[in-house]
Amino acid sequence: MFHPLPILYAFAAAAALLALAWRPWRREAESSHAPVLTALAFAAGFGLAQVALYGLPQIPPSARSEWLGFLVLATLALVPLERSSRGGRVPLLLSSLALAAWFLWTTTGPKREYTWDNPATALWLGGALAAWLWHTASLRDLARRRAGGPSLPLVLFATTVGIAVVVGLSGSVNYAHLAGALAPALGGLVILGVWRPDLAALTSATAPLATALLGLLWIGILFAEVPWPVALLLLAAPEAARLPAWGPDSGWKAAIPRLVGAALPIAAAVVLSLPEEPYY
Amino acid sequence: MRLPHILIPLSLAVTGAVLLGAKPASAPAAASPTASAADVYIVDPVHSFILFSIIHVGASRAYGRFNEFEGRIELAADAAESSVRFELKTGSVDTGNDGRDKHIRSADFLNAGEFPVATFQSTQVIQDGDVYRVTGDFTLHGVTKEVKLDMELVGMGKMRGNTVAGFHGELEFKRADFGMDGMLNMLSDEMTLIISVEAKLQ
Repeated sequence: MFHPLPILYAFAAAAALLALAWRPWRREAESSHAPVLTALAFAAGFGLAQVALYGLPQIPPSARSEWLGFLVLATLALVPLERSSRGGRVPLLLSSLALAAWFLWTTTGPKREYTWDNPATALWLGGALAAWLWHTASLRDLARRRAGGPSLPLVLFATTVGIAVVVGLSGSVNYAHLAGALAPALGGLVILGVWRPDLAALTSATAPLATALLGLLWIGILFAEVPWPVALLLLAAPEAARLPAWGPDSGWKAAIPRLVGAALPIAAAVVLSLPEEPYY
Repeated sequence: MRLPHILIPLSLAVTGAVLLGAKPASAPAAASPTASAADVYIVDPVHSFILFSIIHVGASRAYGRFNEFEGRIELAADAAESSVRFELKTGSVDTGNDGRDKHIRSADFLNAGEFPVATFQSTQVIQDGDVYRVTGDFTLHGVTKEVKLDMELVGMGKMRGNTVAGFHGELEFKRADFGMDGMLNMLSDEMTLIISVEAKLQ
């Protein structure tokens, strides 16, 4: 059954914090707290939706997937490192590595105990960690290159919707709702990109977003039987934001080819996830 | 879809009861345990069945089974010292439809990825004629609850020179009690676990 309220909560919380961070109705210089508030907007929107869907999580959570909400909150600590100059790169890399490794290890407990042998465990954890670090760094780079306008927000929004659809098609309405909760949290960013394309809203605030995207895909693979090639297609979709623009880089026209480019791997992932014969 | 959870505890309890049942006075002498050592019975998965049933849209009773499970029952002369332990692989649920099986394995129901095993560990066994009243801790979907079920000794026999005992029992429970509250509008909260097992004396 579809639950719309968590989506509304996520949108409202994220949009309110984004508005507070950037005050798009003013033309004055941005606040120094804007990146932190932007990151908090995604974490709060995602977390609020998760609570609305499942209730307050136990500590420690009874289900490993529930650690994702805590992980996204923990990545807020990475925002100051993201903002720092070259000196912060090593601490940022090590911190990201530690958080990713902890989450991957924690969530694979049942697989390591009942399914994977040691070589399979090493292969899965090594591959996932590499993909995690690559995607985190790539999204950070994209946020710098496509700092303003609706291109990157729209591509990320489409990717998140794609994740929700694929997870739902793979069998879990439960986790599809969780993935779907991230999309409305991005809705405010899309509006901001259209309203004030001159603002670099996502720069230095990618850690919670990248973590939520990766975590949802990882949970999909582990607990919703999403095939890993499908997950890789969805992971590649945001790269479409690198496509060249037809006009001004921050304008609407620039978003069209990038959105189309992202739609291709997303559509392929959805088609590959379609059940041969629905049982309903 | 939550039926599988229920089935696991039932199967465990049933298996335990079966093993326990092998030693009552009504059972053949070959199955009677001695006071010095407990008789150990291992559930034969080939000749055992753990099924579940649930009401679909208030109209029909749907059935499924678990294909992978293990059971060990130790029967002592004093029933209070007997024990039963079962493990069931939640990912082995089989309803005859791949899409439905995938959905039942998902987080909407069994969440087999998070909770790949359901277990039953008996805490008390009381014999009442051919019926064994088993109390135990059933862990399903990450939730542990005390459950009780009555297992009837169906009979005892010989299989390739081995003594075997068979038990049958049905356990009714509410899946929401185990945190499986998905699609309550389509599938009943009440489920029945049907356990029919054959266990071999070691």
